[in-house]
Amino acid sequence: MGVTGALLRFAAGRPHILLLEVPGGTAERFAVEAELRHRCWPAAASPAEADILVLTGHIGAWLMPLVGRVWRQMPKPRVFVHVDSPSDVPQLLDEGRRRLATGGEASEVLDGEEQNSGESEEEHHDDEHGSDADRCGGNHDDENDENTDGGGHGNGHGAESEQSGGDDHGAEDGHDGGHDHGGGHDHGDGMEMPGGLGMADRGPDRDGLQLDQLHVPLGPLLPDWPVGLVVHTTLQGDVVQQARVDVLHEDGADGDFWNEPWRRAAAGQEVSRGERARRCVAAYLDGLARLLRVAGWLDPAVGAGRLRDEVLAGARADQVTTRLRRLVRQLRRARTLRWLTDGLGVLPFDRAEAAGIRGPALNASRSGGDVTARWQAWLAEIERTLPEVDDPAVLPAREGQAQGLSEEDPASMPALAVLPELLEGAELAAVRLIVASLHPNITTLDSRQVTGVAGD
Amino acid sequence: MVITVLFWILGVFALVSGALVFRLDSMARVTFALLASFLFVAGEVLLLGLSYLGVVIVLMMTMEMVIMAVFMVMYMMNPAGLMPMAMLHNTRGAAAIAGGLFVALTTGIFLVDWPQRAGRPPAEPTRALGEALMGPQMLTMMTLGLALFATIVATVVLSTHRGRYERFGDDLCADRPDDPIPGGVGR
Amino acid sequence: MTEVPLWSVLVLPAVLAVITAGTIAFDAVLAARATGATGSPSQTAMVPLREVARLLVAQRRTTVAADGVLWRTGVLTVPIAALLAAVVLPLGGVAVADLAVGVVWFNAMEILTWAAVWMAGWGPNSAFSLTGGYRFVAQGLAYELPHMFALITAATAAGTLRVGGIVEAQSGLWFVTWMPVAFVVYLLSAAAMAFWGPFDAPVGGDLAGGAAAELSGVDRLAFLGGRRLLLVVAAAMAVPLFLGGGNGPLLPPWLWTLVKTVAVLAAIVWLARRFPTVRMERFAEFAWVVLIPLTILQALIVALVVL
Repeated sequence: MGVTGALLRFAAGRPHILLLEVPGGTAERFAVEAELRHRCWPAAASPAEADILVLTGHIGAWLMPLVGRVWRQMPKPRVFVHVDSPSDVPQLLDEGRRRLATGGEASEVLDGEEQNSGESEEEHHDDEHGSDADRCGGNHDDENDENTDGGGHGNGHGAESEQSGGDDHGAEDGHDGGHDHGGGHDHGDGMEMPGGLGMADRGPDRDGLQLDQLHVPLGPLLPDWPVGLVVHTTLQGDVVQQARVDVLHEDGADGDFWNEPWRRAAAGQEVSRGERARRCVAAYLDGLARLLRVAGWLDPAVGAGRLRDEVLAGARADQVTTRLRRLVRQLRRARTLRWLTDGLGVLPFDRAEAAGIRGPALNASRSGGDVTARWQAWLAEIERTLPEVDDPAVLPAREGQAQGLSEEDPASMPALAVLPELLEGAELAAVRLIVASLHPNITTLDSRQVTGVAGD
Repeated sequence: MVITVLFWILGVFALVSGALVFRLDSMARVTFALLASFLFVAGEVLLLGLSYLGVVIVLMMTMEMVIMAVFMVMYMMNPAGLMPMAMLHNTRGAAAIAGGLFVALTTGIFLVDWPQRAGRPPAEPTRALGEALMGPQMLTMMTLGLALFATIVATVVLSTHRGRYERFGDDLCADRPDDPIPGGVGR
Repeated sequence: MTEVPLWSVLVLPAVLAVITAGTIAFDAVLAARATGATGSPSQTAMVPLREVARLLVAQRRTTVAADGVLWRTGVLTVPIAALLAAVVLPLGGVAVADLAVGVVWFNAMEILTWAAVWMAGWGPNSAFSLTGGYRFVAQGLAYELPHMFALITAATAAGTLRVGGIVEAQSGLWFVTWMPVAFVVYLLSAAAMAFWGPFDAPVGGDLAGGAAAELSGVDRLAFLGGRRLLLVVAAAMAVPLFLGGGNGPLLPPWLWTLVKTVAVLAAIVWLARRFPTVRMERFAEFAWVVLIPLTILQALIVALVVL
């Protein structure tokens, strides 16, 4: 143990963290992000890179197998941390590091080999969809997939790419015990296919060639990806030929973090306009941070994340204004970023209006409607809403009602309705940027309407 | 002595990896077996003292094989788990051609009168090569280069189904081209 | 060609390793500055060591139906190609091998990484990984021609492909002063060939790490360590090509070479954080329509001056 033990302890000083958020974990994610910034611990992009898997939010029955899959893709030594409350984060991370330094978890409920024991099994069998999703891979083209089926393949970490032939590869051989840290699906029937994988099927591409297709789900357990969103893509090369959108809806999950002030107002509580404005500014800052991370521009992303946390923590407007304006100015001047996001995911105005998109995304569709227009609209919204964050006036309850509607059925969010048509024909990198710029949870926020009401 | 041993080792490796091209059953592996064969041949050329030619073989063949791998595999999206596939087509014909060619070349080697070395190798073979190519053979090289380039351009033009009318509209007056994926210069 | 002392074979990897570790630490400092956290210098100096330790103790992963041969070959080829490219680097007049065709040798070894990254992306049977591999080939096709013209420009001015000869040709005037376009293009391609930011799309976060998405343990160490080594070597090559090699007042040549290398590296690492990841669908057209004509023009001017 001597040398290895010392190396383990030494290496655990700077673990790479795979931070994944599932519905109900937004506040916890912010706490973790702040703590990671503070400790200078790097974020992992994939399970293979991670030492500690940090999950925020409510892990429901069907989510368990998905988390288990991500877990099995992580190299040992590995540690799993579930964050339930923002205030626990420092202790949990310290504890995680300590466990990592002593070799990580040897056996764990999430571990594949341990699937037949304990709570994991119960959950596995409680939920039909969950186990279906986990086991059956071939029927992806099937339009009446369950929501959760999508989730089944949806951790999107590469190895899951599925060679679904659109035929009957949906064999039932459970993949959990089959391979340890593998990724892929063995939904072949154990024929002479390599690794039990099916062949890719073919389809015409945009140049009229017959090319192989892969069915790759993006999300829900993907860093910098909207919570609970699954996009089932049919890929040819890295071009998305078809996209289908699913939203994972977890019973028992808390309401959306961003809608909270409106919800509380609707419930008759006293909510100040400042609080609501804070939520808006923070939402757009969070969107920006995510977009910038996806665009590979980490430093301003970190800056946006810090400002977001300060605004949410109740910093006065004058404390953050200078730095916020500097960030906004930096981004407005960023010609490279504009050059990279111009012309991606163009959403024409009439289409946006017909789909019921409101707020900055609608404004953006007036001025080009591409990804650039959308993040610039966020900048405008941040600048416009910022002065209101210290406004103590009470929010009228009827506004909350209007806003609360979208929350009932996440699948009806307008952004999700337009997403598939924007994604089809785009390359994977563009897909990530478009999704980040049309953040479903925050596109429903509409602070313009709010100000209109506030005027009367 | 060392050079002779190296020569034989490289030669055997080149042949073995060349043979693997027909024995392996995955397109990707076959491509890189072929690349390995070329790299061993490049090693032989280096041993002959033609450093420029040897290194250029490494450079060009790596580029070409990678691009070939992309083109071959582009039509098959199955990563590594490609179906095993035979790399042999028209087995009998190919065997006949290959055997015939081998016999012809070997006979040639033994029948031809090899010239005696006249003079000494140049101090800088690279410079000598460049002067030979760009001096007496200039016209040949220029013609060859131009012909190759024209062929490439013509092939691309003939094979693309999108011309300027598709991109800029029938009257060619659209501001921005209508491309599936817009480029970076906007033209 | 001077006699090559045996110690240079041992010194070269050691120097490269130290500079590579320094690069990682410097990048960590920049990252820490962005987060506002003030890490102590000793902690920052530990970052590269911790990373190495972390990857040494981590388990190596495999994936279902992986092409293990190509995968591991690709992963190993990255550091090997970087080291082979480094043998022509002169450290104050002494190179491990000052080949007569040094510039072409460097170029050929650097191109080996095309095959390496593609194989590393192809191997694990993962869509994200494969896409990362393809992205690097696209990137190679975009940066390579301007890069070659930049190399040719320096070689033309010196009238030799020998790296030592190129340094000697700059004893009066550094090449950077009269071929700035070639120098800037070379710096761009140095970042691009090591898929370092802003050209880090092949291992981009949007692909969950791209070609490196499935790598862990020693494999990851070889691949990403090799990538950083390649960045160091590419940056170090800018010194003999454009910055006069070991030429300079007062200090001994080997120290000048080191100082200049570190300066170039620091500039690349700092600049990388100033820009978002450049996607090849945009950059390729820019490279072919703008950079290639510019570098050809630069080469033409230099050729006319030399004639």
